[in-house]
Amino acid sequence: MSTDISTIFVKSNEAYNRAEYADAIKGYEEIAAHGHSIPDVYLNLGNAHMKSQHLGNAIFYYKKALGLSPRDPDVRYNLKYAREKTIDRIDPKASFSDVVVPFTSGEYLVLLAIFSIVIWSAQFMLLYRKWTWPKIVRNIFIVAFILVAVPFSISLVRNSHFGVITHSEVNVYSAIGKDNVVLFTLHEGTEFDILEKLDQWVLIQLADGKKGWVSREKILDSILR
Amino acid sequence: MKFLFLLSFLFVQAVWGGDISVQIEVDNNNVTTQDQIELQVHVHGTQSASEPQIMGSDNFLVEQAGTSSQIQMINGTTTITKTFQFIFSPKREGEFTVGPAIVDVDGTEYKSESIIIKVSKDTDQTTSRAAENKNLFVEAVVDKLTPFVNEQFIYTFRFFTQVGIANANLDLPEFKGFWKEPLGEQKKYIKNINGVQWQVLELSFLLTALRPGKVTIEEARLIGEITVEGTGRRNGRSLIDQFFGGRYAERKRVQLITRPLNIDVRDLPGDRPDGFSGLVGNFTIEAQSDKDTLKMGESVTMTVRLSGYGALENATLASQETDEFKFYDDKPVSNKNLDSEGVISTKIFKRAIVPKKAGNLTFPPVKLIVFNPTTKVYQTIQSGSFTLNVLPGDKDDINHTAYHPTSAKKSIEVLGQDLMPIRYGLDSLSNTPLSRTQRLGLMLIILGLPLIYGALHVVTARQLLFKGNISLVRKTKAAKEFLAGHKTLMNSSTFVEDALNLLKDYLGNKLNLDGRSITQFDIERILVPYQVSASTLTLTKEIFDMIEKSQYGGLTLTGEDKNKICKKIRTLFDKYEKEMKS
Repeated sequence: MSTDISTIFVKSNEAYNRAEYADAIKGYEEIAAHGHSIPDVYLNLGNAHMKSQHLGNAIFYYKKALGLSPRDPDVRYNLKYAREKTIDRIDPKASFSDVVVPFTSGEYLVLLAIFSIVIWSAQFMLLYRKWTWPKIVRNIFIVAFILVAVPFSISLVRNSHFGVITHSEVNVYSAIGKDNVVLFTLHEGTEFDILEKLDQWVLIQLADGKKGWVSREKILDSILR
Repeated sequence: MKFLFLLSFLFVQAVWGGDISVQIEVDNNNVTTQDQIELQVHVHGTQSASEPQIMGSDNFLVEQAGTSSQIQMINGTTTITKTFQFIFSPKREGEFTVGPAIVDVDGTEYKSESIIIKVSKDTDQTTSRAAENKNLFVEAVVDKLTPFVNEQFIYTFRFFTQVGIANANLDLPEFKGFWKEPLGEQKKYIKNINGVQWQVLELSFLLTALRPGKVTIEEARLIGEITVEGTGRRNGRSLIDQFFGGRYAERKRVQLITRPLNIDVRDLPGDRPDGFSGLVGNFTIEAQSDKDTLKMGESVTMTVRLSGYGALENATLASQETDEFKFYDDKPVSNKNLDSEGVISTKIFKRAIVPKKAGNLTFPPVKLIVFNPTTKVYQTIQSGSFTLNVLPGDKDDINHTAYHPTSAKKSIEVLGQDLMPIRYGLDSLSNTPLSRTQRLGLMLIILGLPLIYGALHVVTARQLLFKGNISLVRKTKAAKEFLAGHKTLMNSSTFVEDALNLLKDYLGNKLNLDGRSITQFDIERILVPYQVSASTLTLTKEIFDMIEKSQYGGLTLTGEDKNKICKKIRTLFDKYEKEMKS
């Protein structure tokens, strides 16, 4: 953590307290632009956007914060609070990606490494001593390893490229270009998965399965890690 | 005079077992909001009709007034009629269509026609006293039409009558926007108005305005039956009554409605001062203690009496904890009394005070900031302070009993929602996800441990395998020792001896024998079981022969000969390694 980042963070917080949200956003975005993926910075950024009535941006940053800190109750609350203010109601289809993943990929790796060390240590012991307890410990941790490995695998394979509408009303087209048929209209704050990017257009898919092309300038998108 | 309007008659002739018809009629279809209508539904031709469902009755309060059946036999024709009676009280003025009445007879629906009822405003209700020419009326009054928010005022409903009323039912307004509290029991008294004695029934409520703005207290409605003397003939009057010519009395249903009251609730003026208690009224506060001398560890009970004209439900005492005192609050007690100027509310708080040190200590006054609606200013009311003489206590005298406040807990009312706050701590910045290197390290641990285990497993297995198995150990090390010896053989000063021993040791290790005792005559016997080829056997014999001759026959070997022997030995080794299966 460099001093610069700390200074910007403190000054941004001060700007937020003075209700100078544009300055706060600028500061937080500067921290994020330096490659610092910090969940608390994203939370603050989301709050500053909410206070500035930028619902789409707020949801986007809350989701990024949640991706990095999935069990943070404040982030979850603020995201829920922001989602309640969106206009579009989407009835989601049950899908593979709905499986709740309560840890980040880094946390999964740490857990798997710890379980792995325990399992193989017990196994080493069994190589020399025919004790019962290492066998029990090994078996318990094998089960734990599998339980963690499954959602981790799901998190690896599922589409984590998401986007949020940042304009008040956005047309979704059947193909690239505004001359095509407008399939439906989305409003600020609506979330979706991104299936493909082509030039200035992105192919999106809503939770209810609807697909279409949206101009890239009307959205914010990111890949959750 | 009672009107009888025949407004709907679907089929007049009803015969036993004949056609069924439904008829609806009212005693008056042009009424005021004060009047009541007697509505009857006649079902002709059956006695098994269900309770009628009367459409369009939403604009009336509907009460059932009973059912009756009638069977008539005229000239051999039997007529059956079942009549359902209802009392309709208009809720509002207007022209309303009532009906059809629908009855169900053995699964079949029968309908009457509809009737129109015109309800006009009762001119007598424009002022409550305008009805004094009648023998009964009602009124609703408040003592303040423009109260402040949180200010209390009194709503009074009065019923004036000169006649008796039976089956009375009072329908009070909902008092939306106000906190309502009954004020004592209902009162009955006699009042003289313009020389006329009226019996008065009075009900009062204490109202507290909850928010500023114009609010209407809806009308109150009293419905009942009064006894009036009849003036005309009445069906069913007995011949004896007619003979004596007496006037008959009948019961008449009446509906009395007060006027709605428009209340303009004013917001509190100006900025509310810090520490404003929220109380609106004219209050006083006084405090007293039950003793003025006590020992350390003892407590003194302070009684704070807050009273005045205004609502005290939300009154609480501010904290008075200092370096000198601790205190514990008991549950406060409230009561209300009505006097000539209004309602006096009183709330008594009991606060147990425990001194923290000895000496003459002054307990600070209890202060409250309230709004006085009479003077329209915020004012601070306070009790007097009092001095306590706290003596040092014996250790054993110290009262260790903890005081537990007994006041009832209130659930927290959520007034609004907002975002969870931003994060301020700089430690937030260190909460970063794992770097690529860290992830790689973890992946190496996860994937590398099985490999390490595999290698260790192999080593351990070999150790276990060789443990106590000399034959296997010698067999495994035979090649290694041969190759090591073969490397230095050319430079050996005792070449012949070393070459022979090298070969013999190799065979001895490989076959788990005493190699040094092998001669060229043992070669075939030893090696044939190991499926060694004939050419290898021959070559072995040749080498043995050559070396033994030079060793025992005194043959001197040149460097070229040594080199040749070395190569042959190596060739032989390769053949053995290749051919000897076990």
